[in-house]
Amino acid sequence: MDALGINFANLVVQVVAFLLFIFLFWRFALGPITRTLDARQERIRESVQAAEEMQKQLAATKAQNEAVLAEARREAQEIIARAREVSEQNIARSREQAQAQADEMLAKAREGIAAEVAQARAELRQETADLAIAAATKIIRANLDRQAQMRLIEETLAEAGGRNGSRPGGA
Amino acid sequence: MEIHVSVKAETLWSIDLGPLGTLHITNSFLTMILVMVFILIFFSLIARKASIIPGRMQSAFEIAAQFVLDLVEGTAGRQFGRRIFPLCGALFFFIILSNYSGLLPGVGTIGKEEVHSAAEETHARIAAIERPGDDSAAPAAEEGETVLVPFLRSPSADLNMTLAMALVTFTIVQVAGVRAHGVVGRIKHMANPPFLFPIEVVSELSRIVSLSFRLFGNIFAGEVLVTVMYAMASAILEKTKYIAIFAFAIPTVFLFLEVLFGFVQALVFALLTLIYISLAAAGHDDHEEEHAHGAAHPVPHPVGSAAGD
Repeated sequence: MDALGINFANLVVQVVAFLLFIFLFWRFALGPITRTLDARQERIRESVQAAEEMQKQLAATKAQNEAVLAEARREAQEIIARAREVSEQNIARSREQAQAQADEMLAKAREGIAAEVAQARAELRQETADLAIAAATKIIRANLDRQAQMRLIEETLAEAGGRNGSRPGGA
Repeated sequence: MEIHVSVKAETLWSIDLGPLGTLHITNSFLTMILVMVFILIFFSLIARKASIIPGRMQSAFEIAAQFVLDLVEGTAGRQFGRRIFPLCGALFFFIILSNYSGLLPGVGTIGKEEVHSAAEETHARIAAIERPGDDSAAPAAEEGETVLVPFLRSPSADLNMTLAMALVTFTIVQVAGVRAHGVVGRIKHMANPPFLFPIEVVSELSRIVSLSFRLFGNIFAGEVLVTVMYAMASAILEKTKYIAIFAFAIPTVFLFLEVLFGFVQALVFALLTLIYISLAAAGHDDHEEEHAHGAAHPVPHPVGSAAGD
């Protein structure tokens, strides 16, 4: 044993030294590093989990957004459709009103025109009559000299005599 | 030039411990203390500043720690693996740095000259490359020769140290087995079928020998090899001054090999410790089941970690 270098006292001391070394190495070096490794692993796992969670939330939010957007789009379409309908109705109504107003105005205009035509006609007749009378008066005044008057009287008398002869009792 | 190689670690000075005997402060004992102190200070400083976002040193330490941790958890399961990780991790870090300490310049080469008488010689002279015209080495060995006693020597190249680690491992394996199955259960577990019990006992005890001698043999042989290569290189350099590149190239190749072997031996020691503990704690049935399912099986009564954590 001695030839191989085995010495009992040394062996005992080396065993104790090695056990002490294991304890101290674990307590101050290997243990803390292992805990750091574990902590990092845990942190990475948590981070990955959080990232996955976030991605899920993102997807959910996206879906929700899209749903909201689709709803909004649908409502907008509805509002536009309703507005169009209302405006068409309004247009139709105003067109009708305009038509009615126009008709009314046309009718009034026609009435007015007719009244004026009638008045004009009446006035024209009056004026024509007046004119005729004036003309007649002028003609009569111009033509009725002594001779003409005499002849006219004679003619008239002749006519009257003729009339009296044909018609007994008449003047 | 004669190469002096001593199988046992050379004593630098001795301390009397009374009934325990004499504590020889050998060169490998001294290196063991230095390596332990270095590991504890260096890695504690890294661990003290450890943060979630690591620096370079922390990353390097973490890669090594994660490597061992994955190995342990992959073999023994997450829960039980965590309990034996302090032992396996300490073994791995201590052995690998002990192995590498032997490769440092000055370790094994700086020391004091001592005259050993031929009768006291316990070291083995494994090779001798003689200088031309240098015939003084052979007669000197018979009368007592002057040898270099290095101040530092790799702790793994000392059977005392590897045996100490193997004993610690063996004890923890037995404690794990007894904790998992109870004393009777452990004996039953080993005596199944009963006639295999003596073989099992021998097998268990032989692990002390195999673990300690494997590490010691590999590292010691590696150191001898590198020493021989250095000697060869210096001989080449003396003889052929023009091809000095060989003098540097040859030992370098073997130093790289030693770096590889140092890692492999540290891994093997830690891995075997892990496997022995897992086997003892899990039992045959559990272990077979574990293999059948291809997954780590929970261990019924896991052993407490050696660190007392």
